[in-house]
Amino acid sequence: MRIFSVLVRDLEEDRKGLTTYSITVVAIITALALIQAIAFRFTAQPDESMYEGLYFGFLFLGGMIFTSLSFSDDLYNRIRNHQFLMLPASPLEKLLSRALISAIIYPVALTLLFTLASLALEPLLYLLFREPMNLFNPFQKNHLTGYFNYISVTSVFFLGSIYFRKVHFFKTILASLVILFTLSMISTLLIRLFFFDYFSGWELSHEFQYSFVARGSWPLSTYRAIGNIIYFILLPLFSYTVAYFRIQEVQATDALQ
Amino acid sequence: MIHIHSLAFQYGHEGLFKDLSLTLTKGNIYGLLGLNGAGKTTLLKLVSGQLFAEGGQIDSMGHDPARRDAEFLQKVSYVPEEFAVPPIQGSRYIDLYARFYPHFSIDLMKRYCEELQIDSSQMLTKMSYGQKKKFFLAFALASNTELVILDEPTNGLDIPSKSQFRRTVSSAMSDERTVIISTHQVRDMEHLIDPLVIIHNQKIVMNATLEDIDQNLCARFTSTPPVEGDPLYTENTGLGYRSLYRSDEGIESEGIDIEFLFNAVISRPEAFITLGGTQ
Repeated sequence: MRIFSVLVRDLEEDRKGLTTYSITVVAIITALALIQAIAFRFTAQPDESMYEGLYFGFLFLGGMIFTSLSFSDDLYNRIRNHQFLMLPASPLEKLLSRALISAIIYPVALTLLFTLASLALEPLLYLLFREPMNLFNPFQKNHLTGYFNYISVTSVFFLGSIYFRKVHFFKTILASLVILFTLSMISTLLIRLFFFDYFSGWELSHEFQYSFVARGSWPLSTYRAIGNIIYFILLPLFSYTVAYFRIQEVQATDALQ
Repeated sequence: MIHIHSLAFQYGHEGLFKDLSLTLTKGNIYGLLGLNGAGKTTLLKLVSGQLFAEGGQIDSMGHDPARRDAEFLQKVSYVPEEFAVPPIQGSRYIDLYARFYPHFSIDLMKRYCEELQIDSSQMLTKMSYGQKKKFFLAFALASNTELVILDEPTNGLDIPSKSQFRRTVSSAMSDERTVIISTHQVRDMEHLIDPLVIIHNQKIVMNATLEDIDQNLCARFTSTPPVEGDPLYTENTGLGYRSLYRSDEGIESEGIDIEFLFNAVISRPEAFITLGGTQ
């Protein structure tokens, strides 16, 4: 299938960058594990959250930056975009290849990297420092929740990488903040309008807390379900769909002024 | 093969093409000529789907190029004037990209690499500009695509490579293939390009075969300003005067070189309207 040819081509051309990134991740894991093992000799208190914290840091922050760069050269580099536009594959195949790298290959590769690094490091640190082994466990429930969050969040950065011509990462963050601020203003106004009985000025009464939050009544659980549907399903769908339409509109960069 | 009808395109508020029409048929090596900024590269990008027309229609081999379908892109090889290369070996590039072209011939690729003296085991990033250009030219021809677009292909080539380039392109031609070469180096293209397409002031001012040109025009060199006939164009070469006439003036022709013809056409486009130009 052609999409796999596109995928192989994308990975091969990014190989140097991906290798450098992987080496950096392993170096940081090694350095922190070593510092922690040395600290253990003095404190005798093992830090069991080191891998978890670092993993989610790389998954989210690293993933957002990595995803932001998905199309920076292919679409907006005056010289490089020729090769991308003329590659004999459909816009959908080109988009799916990058989406697979961002949404599946990156988190899977990162999980593997953490698992292998901890498998290699922990026995060694145990032998050297007698620190109890604290292996990275990729099969925890919070990893699955983290992964779904990752998909939602990075889908926005994926769209940003196509939508913005430069400084994709920061522009996506700024645009998201503006949208979130606007939405929070609108929702505050709506709550104020629909639940006016529970307000005195702009302050919510305790009765509201009791009726909807503490008691877990149906409006709150319904809103939560709607929120989850919007965040976990509609947001990625919207982002990837808009990204697809946007990629079809991109032209040779030197035509845009 | 390629039909362009009433094409309109502009950069920002600056109009580049307005009502441009052109038909290119298969089996030819077209020479696309024009002054700097005339829109040669833009026209090539429109035909290959890298830019979208703002008006009119473009039909490239039965496809709307703006859709950039994989089936359309499989039929087009485009060697741009400037290009970026991935940090991989030439042979790896062939592995990665040849699979996208159903008629790609690895034997032809090897042959063209030998002819153009390229070592495909070298890293693309380590190749000189001219070597990269020859590598992509070899790849474009080995892809066996119906349409081959070459934008300033001889820029950066050394003198032996330019003549080898002409031989290689000629040998790669077939009745089913069309090559469009956009160039300022017309002397490099003598005996290769035919027909000639000249763009000037948003229009196609000439679209004619060399045979048509020979039948309709003739050139004469004199040491003094021409006195006989009514020349369409006269150029002071420093050593004398070269003039271009209509064939029906009965002047004995001394052969027309493309550079001289180009200068003549852009100085008086209206005089060459019978050679496939539009007003």
